[in-house]
Amino acid sequence: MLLNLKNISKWVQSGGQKVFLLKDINFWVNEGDFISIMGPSGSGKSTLLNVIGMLDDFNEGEYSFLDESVHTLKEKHRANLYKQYVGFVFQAYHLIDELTVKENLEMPLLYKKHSASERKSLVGDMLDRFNIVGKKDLFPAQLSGGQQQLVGVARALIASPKLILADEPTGNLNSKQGEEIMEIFTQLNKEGVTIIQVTHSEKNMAYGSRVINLLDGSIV
Amino acid sequence: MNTHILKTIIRNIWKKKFLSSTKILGLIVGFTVFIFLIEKIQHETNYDTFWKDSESIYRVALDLKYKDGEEVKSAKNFGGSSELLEAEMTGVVAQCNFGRDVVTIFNGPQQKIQNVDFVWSDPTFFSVFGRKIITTETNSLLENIHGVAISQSFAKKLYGEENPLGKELTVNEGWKFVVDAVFEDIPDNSHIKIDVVGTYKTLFYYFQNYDNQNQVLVDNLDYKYLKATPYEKKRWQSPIQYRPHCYIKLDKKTSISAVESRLGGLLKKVALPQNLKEAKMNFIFQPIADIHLKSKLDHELSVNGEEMQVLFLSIIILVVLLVCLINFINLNTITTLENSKNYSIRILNGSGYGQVFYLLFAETILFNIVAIGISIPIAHYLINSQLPIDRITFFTYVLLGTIGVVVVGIASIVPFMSVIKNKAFSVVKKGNQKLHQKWTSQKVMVTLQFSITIVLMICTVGIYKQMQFMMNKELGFNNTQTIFSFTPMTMNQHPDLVSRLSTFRNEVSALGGVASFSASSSIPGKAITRLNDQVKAVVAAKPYPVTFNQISIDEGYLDTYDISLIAGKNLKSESNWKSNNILINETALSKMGNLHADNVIGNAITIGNKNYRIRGVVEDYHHVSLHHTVKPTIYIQNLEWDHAVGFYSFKLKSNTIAGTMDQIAQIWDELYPKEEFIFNFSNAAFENQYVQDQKFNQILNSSTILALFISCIGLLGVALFNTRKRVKEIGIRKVNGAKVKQILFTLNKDFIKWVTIAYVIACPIAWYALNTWLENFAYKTTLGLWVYVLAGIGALTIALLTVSWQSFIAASRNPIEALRDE
Repeated sequence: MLLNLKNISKWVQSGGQKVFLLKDINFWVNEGDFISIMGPSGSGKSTLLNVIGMLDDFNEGEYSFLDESVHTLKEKHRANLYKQYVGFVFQAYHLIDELTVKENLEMPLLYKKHSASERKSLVGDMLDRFNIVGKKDLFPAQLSGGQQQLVGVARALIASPKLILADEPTGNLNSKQGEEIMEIFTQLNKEGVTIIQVTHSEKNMAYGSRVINLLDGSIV
Repeated sequence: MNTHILKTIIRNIWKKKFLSSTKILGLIVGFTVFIFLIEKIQHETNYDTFWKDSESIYRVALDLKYKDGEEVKSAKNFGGSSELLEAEMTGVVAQCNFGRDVVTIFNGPQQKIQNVDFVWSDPTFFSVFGRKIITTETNSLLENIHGVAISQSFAKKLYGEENPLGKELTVNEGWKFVVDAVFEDIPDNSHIKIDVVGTYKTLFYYFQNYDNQNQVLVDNLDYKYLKATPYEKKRWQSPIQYRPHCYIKLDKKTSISAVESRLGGLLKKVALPQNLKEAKMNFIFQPIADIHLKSKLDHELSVNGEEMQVLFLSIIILVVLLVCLINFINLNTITTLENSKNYSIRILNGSGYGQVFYLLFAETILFNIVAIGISIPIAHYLINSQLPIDRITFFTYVLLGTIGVVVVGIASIVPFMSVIKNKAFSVVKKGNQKLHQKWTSQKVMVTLQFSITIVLMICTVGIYKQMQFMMNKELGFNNTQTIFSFTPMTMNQHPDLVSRLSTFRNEVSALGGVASFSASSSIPGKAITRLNDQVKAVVAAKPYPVTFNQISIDEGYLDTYDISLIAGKNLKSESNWKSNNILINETALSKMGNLHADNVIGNAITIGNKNYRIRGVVEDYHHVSLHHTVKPTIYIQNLEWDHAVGFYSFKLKSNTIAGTMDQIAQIWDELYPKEEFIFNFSNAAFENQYVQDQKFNQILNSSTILALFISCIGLLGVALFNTRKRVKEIGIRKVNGAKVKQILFTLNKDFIKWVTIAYVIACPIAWYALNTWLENFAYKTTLGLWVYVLAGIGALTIALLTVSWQSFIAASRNPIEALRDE
């Protein structure tokens, strides 16, 4: 088992009342799973993804990742954990506008201990793999949405994570570009990378092996 | 301004407390510095402009080069000069010349006021220097042979609220005068400082008729004052130290160039003495208002100001204002950006751009009004306590208003153009997504701001170093544990002067706490006012082509001030305190030809028409501040004081200072019962010469700190905006594994770059400014590289500390907050 959530709840105080963002979530993921999280706006999909990605705290429950209990870990350990095992893909790509494609890919490696030559070869591999060598010196603004998301996925993969968390990765793309990205996810999944995606689209959901439906913070 | 707008503005300000308070603080500091310095500059530049018709009053200074002598440009002139001009030139409506004296005035038993500025002149003094005068009705002004005129404030000091007219005044050895007139005070910003005016007629009358033995004036009703005309030789013979300062006043129609053009041949009408006939002699006409800042002649009446300092102060004003303006624009742009959502919604709902501008404009005005309102009382307080000015001038208010309008204008137009009228501003998009292109100009401005601040920092360090250098430089003498008093005035011309002085010396020297005693005409730190250009190797020879300083000393002088001899011997003790032995200093030696010190000992020398013998050569020491080089000086053994005031100096032994001073006072009281013993510390008197420099240094220091402070506020604002702009980037980097430390580095890298650029720009400017300033000193410190390095490191550290705080807040935020907003 890659990760396991037990009775996870998260709430905020608003006007003296608890408003639940997540309520009593129980949920596990095995290595090699391809999971789709579905639900209407405000149902807590992104919050759940952030909790899984260890970017967000929760108020109650237990979360273990590779047999480490995340809720008892110190901030620093937790950061090390997700740095090592998790890659993120966002709907809005979140590339740094001031950096070129190559530099964007290299950026996560700067924060892990890789030598310059290692970084160069890893970036080179990624550019090859996603067929974007020709674009390596362009800035994000010079790419189409599909190409930007391609870079986003490549960046998420560059440190070879076990888990990819994708928050509506095709939300800003047209259907053809979307299909390409989903094909890549399928391919990655076959190679053994675990994928959790948040999506609105029934079509994208079909790529996954398991679906979790959320409504008002609870799994239904 | 309607209530809706006012409410919006106030809520806005309240919501952004931090930004608002930095904005207002920056403005307050800027305006306060501005008011203060403008007042200071006005004070300096308005010297002597208050006189009635000041533009037509001129000082007649003298440019004189004797045959084979050196050229001396002196503020003093022959008494005949202004008188001749008045007599010969149409257009010269009045003239006066006066000799300055420093006296002690007794206003009660054992009570005295020392250092009173007294001038001897003619009644025409007030025709040139117009003052309101209250006088007794029986006499015309200063006609009374016993009469003097005193200033209003001095009258108050002497007699309190009582009517001063007709009151008696006792000066020095007991000359009694009657207050005949009271004149309106001469304001502080004049090169002339006068408490009492007496006439030459009175002076000569008292000289002739005062009985020194019994200390009474014997009135002589037959006395006639016969003044020589300017055509007579007599008016052109006085040696430098007795020459007066001469002034003329023109009528409104006459220009000074007209007077100058008619000068040729004028002196041919005068029976000039032979040495002047052969000399090159020229009159220099100085407009009275220019004297304080521009005149750099020898023998000035008072220490003049430095035009350089006014220039520096003006630059500082500009700098501080610029820094302040840049800062306010930056911060205003940032708030505008932050409020851009607010503005978008307004425009979406039908407001025009004009109305949005009005909102921005109104807010800027409000800030400025509040800031000006707060800075005026602060500046007023500072001016009152630091400058001899009691209120802010109308001119300053006008200037302040103008500056305010300019600041408001620029600071509302720039953000309006760069944010609201900018293409990137879209009413539907979220405001501040894509503004970095425009941001370059802000970076440039902050860099500029920092260059200016670094220049100020380097200058401050440099000037501090020069001050330290002056305070610590080996001066060639030692005045620690040395006190001095003025010589007792009541003894001037008194027959017992010498005998009592001898008794005083013997008794004081016998005290266990006194190491040595000296009576001299000057002490280190006090100007030497006696000058002599009639020093000759032998009677028949031509005078050396140099003006020598001349001090009267006794055999105790060298010991009291630890001054060394390089050749010969010290003076011997003489029962009448007089001899024909003299000492000279090394500089004087070098001016007397290239002789070895040992070879001049015993040589004869003629000063004026008296013969002396050189007994010793004194090692050069700095008698006055390091602004000046060491002058050739002759030390004569006698009791002739400058302006009748000499000094008694006492070197004390360290352990019993307080008790010893009491004992000295007791001895004094016995021997000089008519006046009290007032003493000062010699080293304090010496340091007093640097008061001007210290004040300037102080102003520079505070300006630097304030400019630095404003720059930091500006930097903080930019940092705030920069991090806010990069929130998304920071989020992405963090999600991809960056630690706080790494984010900090990424953010601060930029700032380091700007400060470095600023530093590179600042260094040469600071180097130039400092070297220009150091030109004012005869002895300069060296400015090593470390001065520049120190300022650089200082600026960088301060900048980083300022920025890091913001960067740290940004770096430690949870990244999903930044990335959530789709």
